[in-house]
Amino acid sequence: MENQNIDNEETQLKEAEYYRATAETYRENARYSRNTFLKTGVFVLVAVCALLLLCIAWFVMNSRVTGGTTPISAQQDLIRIASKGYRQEAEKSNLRLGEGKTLEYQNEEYYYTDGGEIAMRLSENYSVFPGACGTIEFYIIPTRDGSRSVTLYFGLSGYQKGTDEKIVPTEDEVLTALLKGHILLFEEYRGGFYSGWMHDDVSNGVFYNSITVTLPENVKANVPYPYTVYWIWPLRYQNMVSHQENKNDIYAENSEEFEQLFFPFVESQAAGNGISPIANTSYYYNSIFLAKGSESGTPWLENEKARMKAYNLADEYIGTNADYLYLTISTSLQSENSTGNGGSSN
Amino acid sequence: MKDGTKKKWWMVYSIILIIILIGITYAWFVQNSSMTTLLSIEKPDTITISDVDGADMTELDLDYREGTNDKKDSDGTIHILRPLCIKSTSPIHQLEIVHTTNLASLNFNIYPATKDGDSYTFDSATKVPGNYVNEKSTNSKTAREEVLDNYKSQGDVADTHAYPLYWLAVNCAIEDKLQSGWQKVTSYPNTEFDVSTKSEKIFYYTYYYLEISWKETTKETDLFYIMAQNIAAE
Repeated sequence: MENQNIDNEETQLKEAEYYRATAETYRENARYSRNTFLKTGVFVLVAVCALLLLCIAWFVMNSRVTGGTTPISAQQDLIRIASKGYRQEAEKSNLRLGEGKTLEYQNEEYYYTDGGEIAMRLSENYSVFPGACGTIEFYIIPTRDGSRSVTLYFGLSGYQKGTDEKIVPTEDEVLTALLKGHILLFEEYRGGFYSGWMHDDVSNGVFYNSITVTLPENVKANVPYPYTVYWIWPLRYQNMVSHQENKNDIYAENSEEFEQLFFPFVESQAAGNGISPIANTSYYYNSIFLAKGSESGTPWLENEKARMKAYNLADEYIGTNADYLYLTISTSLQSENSTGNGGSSN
Repeated sequence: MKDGTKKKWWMVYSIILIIILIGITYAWFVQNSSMTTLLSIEKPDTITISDVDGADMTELDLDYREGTNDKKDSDGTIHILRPLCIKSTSPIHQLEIVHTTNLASLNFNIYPATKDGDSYTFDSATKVPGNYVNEKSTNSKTAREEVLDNYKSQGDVADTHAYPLYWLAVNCAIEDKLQSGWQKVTSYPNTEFDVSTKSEKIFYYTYYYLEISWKETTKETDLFYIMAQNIAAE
Protein backbone atom coordinates (compact mmCIF):
# COMPACT_ATOMS: atom_id res chain seq x y z
CA MET A 1 0.00 0.00 0.00
CA GLU A 2 2.75 2.30 0.96
CA ASN A 3 4.71 1.17 -2.03
CA GLN A 4 1.75 1.77 -4.19
CA ASN A 5 1.46 5.24 -2.70
CA ILE A 6 5.07 5.94 -3.42
CA ASP A 7 4.60 4.65 -6.96
CA ASN A 8 1.60 6.90 -7.40
CA GLU A 9 3.54 9.83 -6.05
CA GLU A 10 6.38 9.10 -8.44
CA THR A 11 3.98 8.81 -11.35
CA GLN A 12 2.35 12.07 -10.34
CA LEU A 13 5.72 13.78 -10.08
CA LYS A 14 6.70 12.38 -13.49
CA GLU A 15 3.42 13.62 -14.98
CA ALA A 16 3.87 17.02 -13.36
CA GLU A 17 7.39 17.19 -14.74
CA TYR A 18 6.11 16.16 -18.17
CA TYR A 19 3.37 18.80 -18.16
CA ARG A 20 5.76 21.46 -16.91
CA ALA A 21 8.22 20.60 -19.68
CA THR A 22 5.41 20.58 -22.25
CA ALA A 23 4.08 23.90 -20.98
CA GLU A 24 7.59 25.30 -21.14
CA THR A 25 7.94 24.08 -24.73
CA TYR A 26 4.63 25.68 -25.62
CA ARG A 27 5.63 28.93 -23.94
CA GLU A 28 8.93 28.80 -25.78
CA ASN A 29 7.13 28.14 -29.04
CA ALA A 30 4.65 30.90 -28.36
CA ARG A 31 7.50 33.32 -27.67
CA TYR A 32 9.22 32.22 -30.86
CA SER A 33 5.96 32.57 -32.82
CA ARG A 34 5.36 36.02 -31.34
CA ASN A 35 8.87 37.08 -32.27
CA THR A 36 8.47 35.67 -35.78
CA PHE A 37 5.03 37.27 -36.06
CA LEU A 38 6.35 40.63 -34.92
CA LYS A 39 9.34 40.43 -37.25
CA THR A 40 7.27 39.32 -40.25
CA GLY A 41 4.49 41.70 -39.26
CA VAL A 42 6.87 44.62 -39.23
CA PHE A 43 8.14 43.55 -42.62
CA VAL A 44 4.63 43.22 -44.02
CA LEU A 45 3.63 46.55 -42.47
CA VAL A 46 6.66 48.27 -43.96
CA ALA A 47 5.94 46.67 -47.34
CA VAL A 48 2.28 47.75 -47.18
CA CYS A 49 3.28 51.27 -46.13
CA ALA A 50 5.78 51.43 -48.98
CA LEU A 51 3.15 50.25 -51.44
CA LEU A 52 0.64 52.75 -50.11
CA LEU A 53 3.19 55.52 -50.29
CA LEU A 54 4.05 54.58 -53.85
CA CYS A 55 0.40 54.56 -54.82
CA ILE A 56 -0.26 57.84 -53.04
CA ALA A 57 2.83 59.38 -54.63
CA TRP A 58 1.56 58.29 -58.00
CA PHE A 59 -1.83 59.75 -57.26
CA VAL A 60 -0.39 63.02 -56.00
CA MET A 61 1.92 63.27 -58.97
CA ASN A 62 -0.94 62.71 -61.33
CA SER A 63 -3.71 64.81 -59.86
CA ARG A 64 -6.05 64.26 -62.78
CA VAL A 65 -6.38 60.56 -62.31
CA THR A 66 -8.84 58.46 -60.41
CA GLY A 67 -8.36 54.78 -59.96
CA GLY A 68 -10.73 52.01 -60.80
CA THR A 69 -11.13 52.43 -64.52
CA THR A 70 -7.81 51.11 -65.68
CA PRO A 71 -7.91 47.59 -67.00
CA ILE A 72 -4.91 45.54 -66.01
CA SER A 73 -3.62 43.35 -68.73
CA ALA A 74 -0.67 41.04 -68.71
CA GLN A 75 -0.82 40.48 -72.44
CA GLN A 76 0.24 43.93 -73.56
CA ASP A 77 3.94 44.62 -73.94
CA LEU A 78 5.62 47.07 -71.72
CA ILE A 79 5.28 50.39 -73.54
CA ARG A 80 7.88 53.01 -73.08
CA ILE A 81 7.01 56.44 -74.37
CA ALA A 82 9.75 59.03 -74.63
CA SER A 83 10.48 62.55 -75.74
CA LYS A 84 13.49 64.76 -76.28
CA GLY A 85 14.12 68.47 -76.47
CA TYR A 86 13.02 71.07 -73.97
CA ARG A 87 10.65 71.03 -71.06
CA GLN A 88 8.04 73.76 -71.36
CA GLU A 89 8.52 76.62 -68.91
CA ALA A 90 4.90 76.46 -67.78
CA GLU A 91 5.11 72.75 -67.00
CA LYS A 92 8.46 73.06 -65.23
CA SER A 93 7.27 75.76 -62.89
CA ASN A 94 3.76 74.49 -62.26
CA LEU A 95 3.55 70.71 -62.34
CA ARG A 96 5.64 68.46 -60.17
CA LEU A 97 6.76 65.94 -62.74
CA GLY A 98 9.81 63.76 -62.91
CA GLU A 99 12.35 63.84 -65.72
CA GLY A 100 12.02 60.12 -66.43
CA LYS A 101 14.80 57.70 -67.26
CA THR A 102 17.30 58.54 -69.95
CA LEU A 103 18.32 56.56 -72.97
CA GLU A 104 21.22 57.71 -75.10
CA TYR A 105 20.86 56.84 -78.73
CA GLN A 106 23.01 58.31 -81.52
CA ASN A 107 24.29 61.07 -79.25
CA GLU A 108 20.84 62.20 -78.24
CA GLU A 109 19.16 61.92 -74.86
CA TYR A 110 15.67 60.48 -74.77
CA TYR A 111 13.64 60.75 -71.59
CA TYR A 112 11.27 57.86 -71.16
CA THR A 113 8.79 56.42 -68.73
CA ASP A 114 7.99 52.79 -68.17
CA GLY A 115 5.53 53.63 -65.45
CA GLY A 116 4.19 56.80 -63.92
CA GLU A 117 3.91 60.30 -65.31
CA ILE A 118 6.89 62.31 -66.51
CA ALA A 119 7.44 65.68 -68.15
CA MET A 120 6.97 65.75 -71.91
CA ARG A 121 9.69 67.47 -73.89
CA LEU A 122 9.10 69.34 -77.11
CA SER A 123 11.41 70.73 -79.78
CA GLU A 124 10.75 74.31 -78.68
CA ASN A 125 8.95 76.43 -76.11
CA TYR A 126 5.47 76.79 -77.54
CA SER A 127 2.90 79.51 -77.09
CA VAL A 128 -0.60 78.73 -78.20
CA PHE A 129 -2.86 81.32 -79.84
CA PRO A 130 -5.31 81.48 -82.75
CA GLY A 131 -3.37 80.88 -85.95
CA ALA A 132 -0.59 78.94 -84.23
CA CYS A 133 0.38 75.43 -85.23
CA GLY A 134 3.09 72.98 -84.31
CA THR A 135 4.16 69.41 -83.86
CA ILE A 136 4.28 67.00 -80.98
CA GLU A 137 7.16 64.64 -81.56
CA PHE A 138 7.43 61.64 -79.33
CA TYR A 139 9.07 58.23 -79.36
CA ILE A 140 8.08 54.69 -78.58
CA ILE A 141 10.94 52.62 -77.23
CA PRO A 142 10.11 48.95 -77.86
CA THR A 143 11.29 46.37 -75.38
CA ARG A 144 11.54 43.69 -78.07
CA ASP A 145 12.21 43.57 -81.81
CA GLY A 146 9.47 43.34 -84.39
CA SER A 147 6.10 44.69 -85.39
CA ARG A 148 3.14 45.33 -83.16
CA SER A 149 0.37 47.86 -82.62
CA VAL A 150 0.40 50.31 -79.80
CA THR A 151 -2.60 52.38 -78.75
CA LEU A 152 -1.91 55.76 -77.22
CA TYR A 153 -4.23 58.39 -75.83
CA PHE A 154 -3.87 62.11 -76.36
CA GLY A 155 -5.53 64.26 -73.76
CA LEU A 156 -6.16 67.99 -74.03
CA SER A 157 -7.70 70.32 -71.51
CA GLY A 158 -7.46 73.80 -70.09
CA TYR A 159 -5.62 74.81 -66.95
CA GLN A 160 -6.26 78.01 -65.11
CA LYS A 161 -4.54 80.07 -62.48
CA GLY A 162 -6.44 79.54 -59.25
CA THR A 163 -7.03 82.16 -56.59
CA ASP A 164 -3.65 81.54 -54.94
CA GLU A 165 -1.79 81.57 -58.29
CA LYS A 166 -1.70 77.78 -58.29
CA ILE A 167 -2.38 76.14 -61.61
CA VAL A 168 -5.47 73.98 -61.55
CA PRO A 169 -7.49 72.00 -64.11
CA THR A 170 -10.35 74.07 -65.39
CA GLU A 171 -13.87 73.39 -64.22
CA ASP A 172 -15.26 75.59 -66.96
CA GLU A 173 -17.40 73.39 -69.19
CA VAL A 174 -17.60 76.04 -71.90
CA LEU A 175 -13.83 76.21 -72.14
CA THR A 176 -13.43 72.45 -72.28
CA ALA A 177 -16.04 72.14 -75.01
CA LEU A 178 -14.54 74.94 -77.10
CA LEU A 179 -11.00 73.56 -76.86
CA LYS A 180 -12.22 70.45 -78.62
CA GLY A 181 -13.25 72.36 -81.74
CA HIS A 182 -10.41 74.87 -81.76
CA ILE A 183 -7.23 72.98 -80.97
CA LEU A 184 -7.21 70.33 -83.64
CA LEU A 185 -4.93 67.30 -83.66
CA PHE A 186 -3.97 65.51 -86.86
CA GLU A 187 -1.98 62.41 -87.58
CA GLU A 188 -0.62 63.67 -90.88
CA TYR A 189 0.64 66.89 -92.44
CA ARG A 190 1.68 66.67 -96.05
CA GLY A 191 2.06 69.30 -98.76
CA GLY A 192 0.79 72.01 -96.46
CA PHE A 193 -2.44 70.21 -95.58
CA TYR A 194 -3.59 68.10 -92.69
CA SER A 195 -5.37 64.76 -92.54
CA GLY A 196 -6.22 62.12 -89.97
CA TRP A 197 -8.22 64.34 -87.63
CA MET A 198 -8.17 62.90 -84.12
CA HIS A 199 -11.66 63.71 -83.03
CA ASP A 200 -13.03 61.05 -80.69
CA ASP A 201 -13.73 62.15 -77.19
CA VAL A 202 -13.90 59.35 -74.73
CA SER A 203 -13.68 60.83 -71.30
CA ASN A 204 -15.18 63.76 -69.45
CA GLY A 205 -13.34 66.94 -68.73
CA VAL A 206 -10.24 66.03 -70.67
CA PHE A 207 -11.09 65.10 -74.18
CA TYR A 208 -9.08 62.13 -75.27
CA ASN A 209 -8.13 61.09 -78.75
CA SER A 210 -6.74 57.68 -79.26
CA ILE A 211 -4.30 56.72 -81.98
CA THR A 212 -2.96 53.35 -82.92
CA VAL A 213 0.66 53.34 -83.94
CA THR A 214 1.79 50.29 -85.87
CA LEU A 215 5.44 49.65 -85.35
CA PRO A 216 7.02 48.16 -88.50
CA GLU A 217 8.70 44.77 -88.64
CA ASN A 218 12.20 46.22 -88.58
CA VAL A 219 11.97 48.02 -85.22
CA LYS A 220 14.64 47.05 -82.74
CA ALA A 221 14.43 46.84 -78.99
CA ASN A 222 15.68 49.93 -77.18
CA VAL A 223 15.82 52.02 -80.34
CA PRO A 224 13.47 55.02 -80.20
CA TYR A 225 10.78 54.86 -82.86
CA PRO A 226 9.67 58.42 -83.75
CA TYR A 227 6.08 59.49 -84.20
CA THR A 228 4.68 62.94 -84.88
CA VAL A 229 1.27 64.41 -84.24
CA TYR A 230 0.33 67.82 -85.63
CA TRP A 231 -1.75 70.48 -83.92
CA ILE A 232 -3.28 73.65 -85.26
CA TRP A 233 -5.48 76.37 -83.80
CA PRO A 234 -7.18 77.70 -86.95
CA LEU A 235 -7.13 81.49 -87.05
CA ARG A 236 -10.51 81.93 -88.69
CA TYR A 237 -13.73 80.13 -89.34
CA GLN A 238 -12.91 80.28 -93.07
CA ASN A 239 -9.83 78.13 -92.49
CA MET A 240 -12.16 75.35 -91.44
CA VAL A 241 -14.41 75.47 -94.48
CA SER A 242 -12.28 76.58 -97.41
CA HIS A 243 -9.41 75.13 -99.41
CA GLN A 244 -7.41 78.17 -100.39
CA GLU A 245 -3.71 77.63 -100.48
CA ASN A 246 -1.36 79.80 -98.41
CA LYS A 247 -4.16 80.87 -96.14
CA ASN A 248 -3.43 78.56 -93.25
CA ASP A 249 -6.26 76.29 -94.31
CA ILE A 250 -6.52 72.77 -93.02
CA TYR A 251 -7.55 70.43 -95.81
CA ALA A 252 -6.55 70.04 -99.44
CA GLU A 253 -9.26 70.57 -102.03
CA ASN A 254 -9.86 66.96 -102.95
CA SER A 255 -9.83 65.67 -99.40
CA GLU A 256 -12.35 62.93 -98.75
CA GLU A 257 -11.94 63.33 -95.03
CA PHE A 258 -12.95 66.99 -95.32
CA GLU A 259 -16.04 66.23 -97.40
CA GLN A 260 -17.25 63.30 -95.35
CA LEU A 261 -16.12 64.04 -91.84
CA PHE A 262 -14.79 67.49 -91.06
CA PHE A 263 -17.06 69.76 -93.08
CA PRO A 264 -20.28 68.00 -91.98
CA PHE A 265 -19.06 68.36 -88.40
CA VAL A 266 -18.44 72.11 -88.76
CA GLU A 267 -21.76 72.55 -90.56
CA SER A 268 -23.70 70.70 -87.89
CA GLN A 269 -22.04 72.81 -85.21
CA ALA A 270 -22.94 75.99 -87.12
CA ALA A 271 -26.51 74.79 -87.38
CA GLY A 272 -26.62 74.60 -83.61
CA ASN A 273 -25.90 70.94 -82.90
CA GLY A 274 -25.21 70.24 -79.26
CA ILE A 275 -25.57 73.79 -78.06
CA SER A 276 -25.70 74.50 -74.35
CA PRO A 277 -26.58 77.77 -72.66
CA ILE A 278 -24.08 79.80 -70.67
CA ALA A 279 -25.60 80.40 -67.25
CA ASN A 280 -27.21 83.80 -66.66
CA THR A 281 -26.76 84.95 -70.24
CA SER A 282 -28.57 84.62 -73.53
CA TYR A 283 -25.46 83.08 -75.09
CA TYR A 284 -24.93 79.50 -76.22
CA TYR A 285 -21.91 77.39 -77.11
CA ASN A 286 -20.89 74.10 -78.64
CA SER A 287 -17.50 72.77 -79.75
CA ILE A 288 -16.75 75.53 -82.25
CA PHE A 289 -19.02 78.52 -81.74
CA LEU A 290 -20.13 80.92 -79.05
CA ALA A 291 -23.01 83.21 -79.92
CA LYS A 292 -26.25 84.72 -78.79
CA GLY A 293 -29.08 82.22 -78.85
CA SER A 294 -32.13 82.80 -80.93
CA GLU A 295 -35.52 82.34 -79.38
CA SER A 296 -37.45 82.80 -82.59
CA GLY A 297 -36.54 79.39 -83.95
CA THR A 298 -34.40 80.77 -86.76
CA PRO A 299 -31.06 79.03 -87.38
CA TRP A 300 -28.50 79.69 -84.68
CA LEU A 301 -25.84 81.20 -86.95
CA GLU A 302 -27.70 82.36 -90.00
CA ASN A 303 -24.83 83.47 -92.26
CA GLU A 304 -21.09 83.43 -92.87
CA LYS A 305 -20.49 86.67 -90.95
CA ALA A 306 -22.34 85.42 -87.88
CA ARG A 307 -20.25 82.23 -87.96
CA MET A 308 -17.03 84.20 -88.28
CA LYS A 309 -17.94 86.29 -85.28
CA ALA A 310 -19.07 83.30 -83.23
CA TYR A 311 -15.81 81.48 -84.00
CA ASN A 312 -13.72 84.51 -83.00
CA LEU A 313 -15.70 84.99 -79.82
CA ALA A 314 -14.99 81.36 -78.94
CA ASP A 315 -11.27 81.97 -79.60
CA GLU A 316 -11.37 84.96 -77.28
CA TYR A 317 -13.14 82.88 -74.66
CA ILE A 318 -10.40 80.24 -74.74
CA GLY A 319 -7.58 82.77 -74.73
CA THR A 320 -9.03 84.80 -71.91
CA ASN A 321 -10.12 81.96 -69.64
CA ALA A 322 -7.46 79.31 -70.12
CA ASP A 323 -3.95 80.17 -69.02
CA TYR A 324 -2.44 76.90 -70.16
CA LEU A 325 -3.15 74.05 -72.48
CA TYR A 326 -2.63 70.71 -70.74
CA LEU A 327 -1.37 68.05 -73.09
CA THR A 328 -0.81 64.45 -72.14
CA ILE A 329 0.11 61.27 -73.98
CA SER A 330 -0.64 58.11 -72.07
CA THR A 331 -0.61 54.40 -72.62
CA SER A 332 -3.99 53.94 -71.01
CA LEU A 333 -7.16 55.92 -70.80
CA GLN A 334 -7.33 58.06 -67.71
CA SER A 335 -10.54 59.45 -66.39
CA GLU A 336 -10.65 62.93 -65.05
CA ASN A 337 -12.09 63.84 -61.71
CA SER A 338 -12.56 67.56 -61.79
CA THR A 339 -15.45 68.35 -64.08
CA GLY A 340 -18.93 67.23 -64.92
CA ASN A 341 -19.96 66.74 -68.51
CA GLY A 342 -17.70 69.26 -70.20
CA GLY A 343 -16.56 68.29 -73.63
CA SER A 344 -19.45 65.97 -74.21
CA SER A 345 -21.30 68.26 -76.58
CA ASN A 346 -21.11 67.14 -80.14
CA MET B 1 7.29 19.82 -36.13
CA LYS B 2 3.67 20.30 -37.15
CA ASP B 3 3.72 23.86 -35.82
CA GLY B 4 6.93 24.58 -37.68
CA THR B 5 5.32 23.45 -40.96
CA LYS B 6 2.32 25.70 -40.29
CA LYS B 7 4.59 28.67 -39.71
CA LYS B 8 6.52 27.91 -42.86
CA TRP B 9 3.32 27.81 -44.88
CA TRP B 10 2.19 31.03 -43.25
CA MET B 11 5.45 32.68 -44.27
CA VAL B 12 5.14 31.30 -47.82
CA TYR B 13 1.55 32.62 -48.09
CA SER B 14 2.66 36.07 -46.86
CA ILE B 15 5.49 36.20 -49.37
CA ILE B 16 3.21 35.09 -52.22
CA LEU B 17 0.66 37.73 -51.22
CA ILE B 18 3.31 40.43 -51.15
CA ILE B 19 4.66 39.32 -54.53
CA ILE B 20 1.14 39.43 -55.99
CA LEU B 21 0.58 42.89 -54.49
CA ILE B 22 3.86 44.16 -55.87
CA GLY B 23 3.10 42.57 -59.22
CA ILE B 24 -0.33 44.19 -59.46
CA THR B 25 1.00 47.55 -58.38
CA TYR B 26 3.87 47.31 -60.84
CA ALA B 27 1.55 46.24 -63.67
CA TRP B 28 -0.74 49.11 -62.80
CA PHE B 29 2.22 51.45 -62.80
CA VAL B 30 3.50 50.23 -66.13
CA GLN B 31 0.07 50.44 -67.72
CA ASN B 32 -0.21 54.06 -66.61
CA SER B 33 2.82 55.49 -68.34
CA SER B 34 2.21 59.06 -69.43
CA MET B 35 4.02 62.21 -70.51
CA THR B 36 2.51 65.56 -69.78
CA THR B 37 3.22 69.18 -70.48
CA LEU B 38 1.63 72.60 -70.24
CA LEU B 39 1.72 75.07 -73.12
CA SER B 40 1.04 78.69 -72.30
CA ILE B 41 -1.92 80.26 -74.05
CA GLU B 42 -1.53 83.86 -75.17
CA LYS B 43 -4.16 86.30 -74.07
CA PRO B 44 -6.18 87.83 -76.90
CA ASP B 45 -6.26 91.57 -77.47
CA THR B 46 -9.21 93.62 -76.37
CA ILE B 47 -9.07 95.57 -79.62
CA THR B 48 -9.52 94.29 -83.16
CA ILE B 49 -9.43 95.77 -86.64
CA SER B 50 -12.33 94.29 -88.53
CA ASP B 51 -14.54 95.01 -91.48
CA VAL B 52 -17.52 97.30 -90.92
CA ASP B 53 -19.70 94.43 -89.68
CA GLY B 54 -17.28 93.63 -86.89
CA ALA B 55 -16.34 90.37 -88.66
CA ASP B 56 -12.86 89.34 -89.81
CA MET B 57 -11.22 91.59 -92.36
CA THR B 58 -9.80 88.75 -94.42
CA GLU B 59 -8.65 90.87 -97.31
CA LEU B 60 -8.44 94.47 -98.37
CA ASP B 61 -9.20 94.76 -102.05
CA LEU B 62 -6.93 97.41 -103.56
CA ASP B 63 -8.35 97.30 -107.08
CA TYR B 64 -9.58 100.63 -108.37
CA ARG B 65 -13.39 100.74 -108.32
CA GLU B 66 -15.17 103.20 -110.59
CA GLY B 67 -18.17 104.93 -109.10
CA THR B 68 -17.08 104.61 -105.47
CA ASN B 69 -15.00 106.89 -103.26
CA ASP B 70 -11.94 105.82 -105.27
CA LYS B 71 -10.54 108.48 -107.57
CA LYS B 72 -7.83 109.11 -110.14
CA ASP B 73 -5.93 112.43 -110.28
CA SER B 74 -4.83 114.06 -113.52
CA ASP B 75 -1.16 113.31 -112.67
CA GLY B 76 -1.94 109.58 -112.55
CA THR B 77 -2.22 109.23 -108.77
CA ILE B 78 -4.74 106.60 -107.71
CA HIS B 79 -6.66 106.96 -104.42
CA ILE B 80 -8.22 103.82 -102.96
CA LEU B 81 -10.60 104.36 -100.05
CA ARG B 82 -11.80 101.47 -97.88
CA PRO B 83 -13.87 101.52 -94.70
CA LEU B 84 -12.71 99.62 -91.64
CA CYS B 85 -13.80 99.27 -88.06
CA ILE B 86 -11.93 99.38 -84.79
CA LYS B 87 -13.78 97.27 -82.25
CA SER B 88 -12.59 97.91 -78.73
CA THR B 89 -13.56 97.78 -75.09
CA SER B 90 -12.08 101.25 -74.60
CA PRO B 91 -13.48 104.52 -76.00
CA ILE B 92 -9.91 105.72 -76.71
CA HIS B 93 -7.44 104.12 -79.10
CA GLN B 94 -4.44 104.91 -81.22
CA LEU B 95 -3.61 103.91 -84.79
CA GLU B 96 -0.26 103.21 -86.41
CA ILE B 97 0.73 102.51 -89.98
CA VAL B 98 3.99 100.89 -91.00
CA HIS B 99 4.91 100.75 -94.66
CA THR B 100 7.83 100.18 -96.98
CA THR B 101 8.88 102.82 -99.48
CA ASN B 102 9.44 101.15 -102.82
CA LEU B 103 6.91 103.49 -104.38
CA ALA B 104 8.03 107.03 -103.58
CA SER B 105 4.50 108.27 -104.07
CA LEU B 106 2.90 105.80 -101.62
CA ASN B 107 0.82 107.69 -99.12
CA PHE B 108 -1.67 106.85 -96.38
CA ASN B 109 -4.47 108.87 -94.80
CA ILE B 110 -7.12 107.94 -92.27
CA TYR B 111 -10.47 109.73 -92.06
CA PRO B 112 -12.94 109.28 -89.20
CA ALA B 113 -16.24 108.01 -90.60
CA THR B 114 -19.82 108.01 -89.44
CA LYS B 115 -22.34 105.26 -89.91
CA ASP B 116 -25.71 105.81 -91.46
CA GLY B 117 -27.55 102.55 -91.86
CA ASP B 118 -25.33 100.45 -94.06
CA SER B 119 -23.35 103.34 -95.50
CA TYR B 120 -20.31 105.05 -94.08
CA THR B 121 -19.42 108.65 -94.81
CA PHE B 122 -16.38 110.80 -94.10
CA ASP B 123 -15.24 114.38 -94.49
CA SER B 124 -12.19 114.60 -96.76
CA ALA B 125 -11.06 117.73 -94.86
CA THR B 126 -10.78 115.83 -91.55
CA LYS B 127 -7.77 113.53 -91.42
CA VAL B 128 -6.51 111.82 -88.30
CA PRO B 129 -3.29 113.77 -87.59
CA GLY B 130 -0.06 111.87 -87.09
CA ASN B 131 3.70 111.88 -87.60
CA TYR B 132 6.42 109.65 -88.97
CA VAL B 133 8.28 108.55 -85.86
CA ASN B 134 11.46 107.02 -87.26
CA GLU B 135 14.58 108.54 -85.74
CA LYS B 136 15.42 111.81 -87.35
CA SER B 137 18.67 112.01 -89.27
CA THR B 138 21.46 114.44 -88.39
CA ASN B 139 20.40 117.16 -90.79
CA SER B 140 17.08 117.28 -88.93
CA LYS B 141 15.06 115.86 -91.78
CA THR B 142 12.30 113.43 -91.04
CA ALA B 143 12.71 109.81 -92.07
CA ARG B 144 10.12 110.35 -94.78
CA GLU B 145 12.05 113.31 -96.22
CA GLU B 146 15.22 111.27 -96.06
CA VAL B 147 13.61 108.51 -98.11
CA LEU B 148 12.40 110.98 -100.72
CA ASP B 149 15.88 112.53 -100.90
CA ASN B 150 17.33 109.09 -101.56
CA TYR B 151 14.98 108.70 -104.50
CA LYS B 152 16.26 111.98 -105.98
CA SER B 153 19.94 111.18 -105.47
CA GLN B 154 19.98 107.48 -106.31
CA GLY B 155 17.29 107.27 -108.92
CA ASP B 156 14.10 105.28 -108.82
CA VAL B 157 15.67 101.91 -108.02
CA ALA B 158 13.27 99.93 -105.90
CA ASP B 159 15.63 97.71 -103.91
CA THR B 160 17.46 100.63 -102.33
CA HIS B 161 14.24 102.03 -100.94
CA ALA B 162 12.75 99.11 -99.08
CA TYR B 163 12.96 101.10 -95.90
CA PRO B 164 10.12 100.85 -93.37
CA LEU B 165 8.49 104.00 -92.09
CA TYR B 166 6.42 104.24 -88.93
CA TRP B 167 3.51 106.61 -88.86
CA LEU B 168 1.84 107.14 -85.51
CA ALA B 169 -1.51 108.90 -85.19
CA VAL B 170 -2.69 110.95 -82.24
CA ASN B 171 -5.15 109.32 -79.85
CA CYS B 172 -8.69 109.05 -81.15
CA ALA B 173 -11.50 109.40 -78.62
CA ILE B 174 -15.23 109.94 -78.35
CA GLU B 175 -16.28 113.48 -77.41
CA ASP B 176 -16.72 112.67 -73.68
CA LYS B 177 -13.11 111.48 -73.33
CA LEU B 178 -11.50 114.01 -75.67
CA GLN B 179 -8.31 115.79 -74.62
CA SER B 180 -6.41 118.57 -76.33
CA GLY B 181 -4.53 117.44 -79.44
CA TRP B 182 -6.62 114.28 -79.84
CA GLN B 183 -8.87 113.45 -82.73
CA LYS B 184 -12.59 113.33 -82.08
CA VAL B 185 -14.31 110.26 -83.49
CA THR B 186 -17.83 108.88 -83.38
CA SER B 187 -18.05 105.48 -81.73
CA TYR B 188 -21.10 103.26 -81.82
CA PRO B 189 -21.57 101.32 -78.60
CA ASN B 190 -22.81 97.78 -78.98
CA THR B 191 -23.63 95.39 -76.16
CA GLU B 192 -21.84 92.10 -76.62
CA PHE B 193 -20.66 89.08 -74.68
CA ASP B 194 -17.54 89.79 -72.65
CA VAL B 195 -15.44 86.64 -72.39
CA SER B 196 -13.67 87.60 -69.17
CA THR B 197 -16.71 88.46 -67.06
CA LYS B 198 -19.08 86.08 -68.91
CA SER B 199 -21.67 88.80 -69.05
CA GLU B 200 -22.58 91.53 -71.49
CA LYS B 201 -20.38 94.55 -71.91
CA ILE B 202 -20.23 97.61 -74.12
CA PHE B 203 -17.89 97.41 -77.12
CA TYR B 204 -17.13 100.54 -79.11
CA TYR B 205 -17.28 100.32 -82.88
CA THR B 206 -15.36 103.19 -84.48
CA TYR B 207 -15.36 103.53 -88.27
CA TYR B 208 -12.63 104.96 -90.47
CA TYR B 209 -11.85 105.30 -94.12
CA LEU B 210 -8.34 104.27 -94.99
CA GLU B 211 -6.96 106.08 -98.02
CA ILE B 212 -4.03 104.57 -99.90
CA SER B 213 -2.67 106.56 -102.82
CA TRP B 214 0.19 106.02 -105.25
CA LYS B 215 1.33 106.95 -108.71
CA GLU B 216 1.41 103.87 -110.93
CA THR B 217 4.54 104.59 -112.95
CA THR B 218 6.35 101.30 -112.48
CA LYS B 219 5.12 98.04 -110.98
CA GLU B 220 6.34 97.77 -107.42
CA THR B 221 5.59 95.83 -104.27
CA ASP B 222 5.11 97.51 -100.94
CA LEU B 223 4.03 96.13 -97.62
CA PHE B 224 1.93 97.96 -95.11
CA TYR B 225 0.52 97.19 -91.70
CA ILE B 226 -2.19 99.05 -89.89
CA MET B 227 -2.25 98.59 -86.14
CA ALA B 228 -4.47 99.76 -83.31
CA GLN B 229 -3.95 99.82 -79.58
CA ASN B 230 -6.25 100.56 -76.69
CA ILE B 231 -5.61 103.58 -74.54
CA ALA B 232 -7.00 103.24 -71.03
CA ALA B 233 -9.75 105.77 -70.39
CA GLU B 234 -9.20 107.91 -67.32
